[in-house]
Amino acid sequence: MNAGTVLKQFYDAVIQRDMVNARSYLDDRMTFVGLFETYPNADAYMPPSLSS
Amino acid sequence: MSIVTRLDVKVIVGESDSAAIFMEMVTTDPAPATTLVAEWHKTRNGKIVWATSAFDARPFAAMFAGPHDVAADERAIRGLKDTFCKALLSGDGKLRASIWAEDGTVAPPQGGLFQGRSAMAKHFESERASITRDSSATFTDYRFRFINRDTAFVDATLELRNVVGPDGNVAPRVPIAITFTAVRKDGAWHIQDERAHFSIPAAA
Repeated sequence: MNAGTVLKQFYDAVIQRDMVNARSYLDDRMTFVGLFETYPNADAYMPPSLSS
Repeated sequence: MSIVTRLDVKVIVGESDSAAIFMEMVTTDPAPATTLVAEWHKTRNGKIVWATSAFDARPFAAMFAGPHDVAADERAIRGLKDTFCKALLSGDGKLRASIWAEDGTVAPPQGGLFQGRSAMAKHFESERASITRDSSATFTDYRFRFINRDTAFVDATLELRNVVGPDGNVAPRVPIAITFTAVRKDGAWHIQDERAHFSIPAAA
């Protein structure tokens, strides 16, 4: 699956507030470098409380 | 961000292990805005392994600012009027006009409307003859309402004493009601628009 498809499916899930599905597109060790904050892993970026 | 109420995806572009998304992010209080967000994502084995985002953060600046120091801003605005009084009594029209924003306006109590520091200074210079050696000017009864951190609506009373009136006589006391907006630009407060009226004593 190419990066564009992964991203589309991730955001489709986010917009539908299906965080369990959205979380499945994140590698556990992913890093998100935001303007205000950097999240060092998927659980920091998307806390388990959102996707459970 | 928990203040995000909606994401409106505009386009997603993918190439190899990279993808970019452009979307509008709609946020609510304390930063209500619609902001174009660009994100660059890298994927591996069907999962996002790295991402970064960029957007115009100005609508969110207030979320990271410290508490509004209202007392300090009130002092700064009162300071403008202290300068006004000093300049009035010394006959320095340019100094008096300098407390206004460049495009500010003033409607003095005797009538007329002057816009811009140059026009105000010229008018203020014409008032120099009304000041005597015994003249005084005092602002009291300030009331402030901050519309936001950088804009305040203010009213106050200016009391002039021992000034020469249009009839050539010295008036012992002239109360004037002053209403103005003050704005902060580049960290400095100025008067934006001021309207002044001779106060009419309340009926006994």
